[in-house]
Amino acid sequence: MFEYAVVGSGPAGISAALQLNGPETCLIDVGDISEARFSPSSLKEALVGSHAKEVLGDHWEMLDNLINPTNCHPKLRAQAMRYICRGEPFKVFGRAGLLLAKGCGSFAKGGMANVWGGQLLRYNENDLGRMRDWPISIDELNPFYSELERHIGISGINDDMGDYLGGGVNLLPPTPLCGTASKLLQKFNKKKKNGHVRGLSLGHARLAVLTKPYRGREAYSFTETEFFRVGQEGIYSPAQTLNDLKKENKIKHFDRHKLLSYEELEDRVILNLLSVDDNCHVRVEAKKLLLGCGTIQSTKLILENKGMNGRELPFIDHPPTLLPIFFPMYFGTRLPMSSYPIQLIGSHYKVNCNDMISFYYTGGMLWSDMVPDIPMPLHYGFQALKVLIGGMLVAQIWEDAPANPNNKISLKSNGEMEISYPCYDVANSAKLLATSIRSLGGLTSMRLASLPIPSWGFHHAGTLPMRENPSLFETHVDGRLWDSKRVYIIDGSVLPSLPAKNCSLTIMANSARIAVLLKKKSKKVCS
Amino acid sequence: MMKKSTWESERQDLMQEARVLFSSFFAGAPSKKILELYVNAHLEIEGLGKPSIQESITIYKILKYDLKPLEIEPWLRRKGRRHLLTQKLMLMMYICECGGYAPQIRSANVGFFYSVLYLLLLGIKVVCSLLRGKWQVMRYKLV
Repeated sequence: MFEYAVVGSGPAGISAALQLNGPETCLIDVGDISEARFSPSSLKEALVGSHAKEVLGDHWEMLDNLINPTNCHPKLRAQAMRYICRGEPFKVFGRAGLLLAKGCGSFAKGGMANVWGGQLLRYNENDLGRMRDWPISIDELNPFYSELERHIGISGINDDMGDYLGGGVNLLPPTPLCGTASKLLQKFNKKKKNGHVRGLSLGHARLAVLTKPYRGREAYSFTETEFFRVGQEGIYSPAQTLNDLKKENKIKHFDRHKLLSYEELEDRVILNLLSVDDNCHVRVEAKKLLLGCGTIQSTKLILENKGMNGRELPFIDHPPTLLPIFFPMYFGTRLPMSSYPIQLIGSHYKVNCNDMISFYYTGGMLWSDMVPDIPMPLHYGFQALKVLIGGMLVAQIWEDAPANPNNKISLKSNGEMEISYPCYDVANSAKLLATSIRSLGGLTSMRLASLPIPSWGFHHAGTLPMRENPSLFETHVDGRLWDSKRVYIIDGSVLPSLPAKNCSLTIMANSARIAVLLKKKSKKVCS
Repeated sequence: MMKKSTWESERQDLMQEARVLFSSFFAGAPSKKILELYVNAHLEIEGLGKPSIQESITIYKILKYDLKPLEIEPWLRRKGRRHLLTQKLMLMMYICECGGYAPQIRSANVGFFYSVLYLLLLGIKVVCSLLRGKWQVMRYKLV
């Protein structure tokens, strides 16, 4: 019998496994890996050579937007990326019950982190204070933020966003900027007063992307292939930590196993696993079960365990507002052909608007993806992009996402999860950004703002929120289900609300916090 | 035998279609690889090549009367399910971008003033193209 069984090899599962590593811990995951190869070493090589089928996919995966425009995140379309979203299916309904999308969770080794942008940001006291419903303090998360940052290797710089981003110790050099982002930052630094220009603060992004070798891992080569290939050396994935733990025999890994159900007894939890390769059932026993399968998948397991088909739980998504911004002075700039999508981070926090703005360079995408959205003949769209793209960034704007009683998730009788998300809107601070960016030479219009459908970005939370005194379908501060002694939730399900900042590092830190509490409790019991 | 010659004739039609669509984007003839990819896509992409009768007639007229597909397409572009002409032009666009015709691999620093001039001229070309396209749509009753 194991002391701890951790389910899921994404950010939450691996963060807990790192704390609990040892012979008494097992990690269970389906662990899908990509079967498709993307052999070109860079996007440029892919486009000049005879790699059309590798880029477009053996089954034309990149062209699933050909017949109908797709809601699929551009990072999930390529052939080699498709395996990431083959987990539990779910449907998303919007206003008036309209079906917006069908999606799946992830059974991939490393989880959805295989396609993350790598922005790992700390919350601070202000973030948790604003939300008012977090039952833990930032002091409880800070030590784990530092430990994880040291483990992962974060690139960035202590600049005007330092207050906002926190941490900033032992940062690796920042990732290279494209011409426009670099000039935008220079202009910001020249014009700023009190760390902002018309309310907008700007700085280098903090990314889990290595700009120099770190702890035995090579630096990233910035080949613009992030939309086509996973497992790239230099971009952190929890799968790397899992491989290290296995190599050092620090964990028992039930690879290619899916948790079907569990039964909690007085002194243990019995896990019913399915070996996905040979359909055999495997029984594992552990004193404690930690579920880190991702919000939707963990929630499904709990609802199934409780026999609660139809029961609605709160659901928080974090869809960003997308706003293209043009910098006419930088039109006609030569394209770098070596860049990273996330360029800069910004916020209006100095004027009490607590948004988070990531500025993206679109160089790593196929232009054919963008041209149909330009209202002109297709070939002229290409010609326009030739001149515009060098002077264009896309802002992704996030705002605080408190729980909304109208946004819910439930388990249907056919075993599928359904999300009803009628309440979402374009970020209010998009208008503020449109004004503030003008002082830095940027032009945009709210008419260009778009809001992807809920669930598009996979920042999910709030289904089993942690509380001081949890009631039905809530969790204790130590991650335990409301009515359980042995079952813990360690992923985004337990976050009661989402401040504007990216939640990935906080999910990992909270998972580590829960794991350490568990370990202390176990030691106390033993002694 | 009958089926083989039907498929062969369809294949030839698709290749001819590919040549016309390619030449609306680029000068010169498409490579064998591009033609093959275009034809194979019609076999492999579910839903492509299964248009409405109206859409098929539109494609037929464009090929028969040697019309300009890129000028016509913006007037047939729609939200939701794409018009067959949009689908075929997008397919050609993707194949060419991945087949050595991507403009981004040949970018150069041209500067602000050249860019503004370029965009102004492009704007004029776009307007003229749209007007010609509208005329073709009305003249040949394309839907």
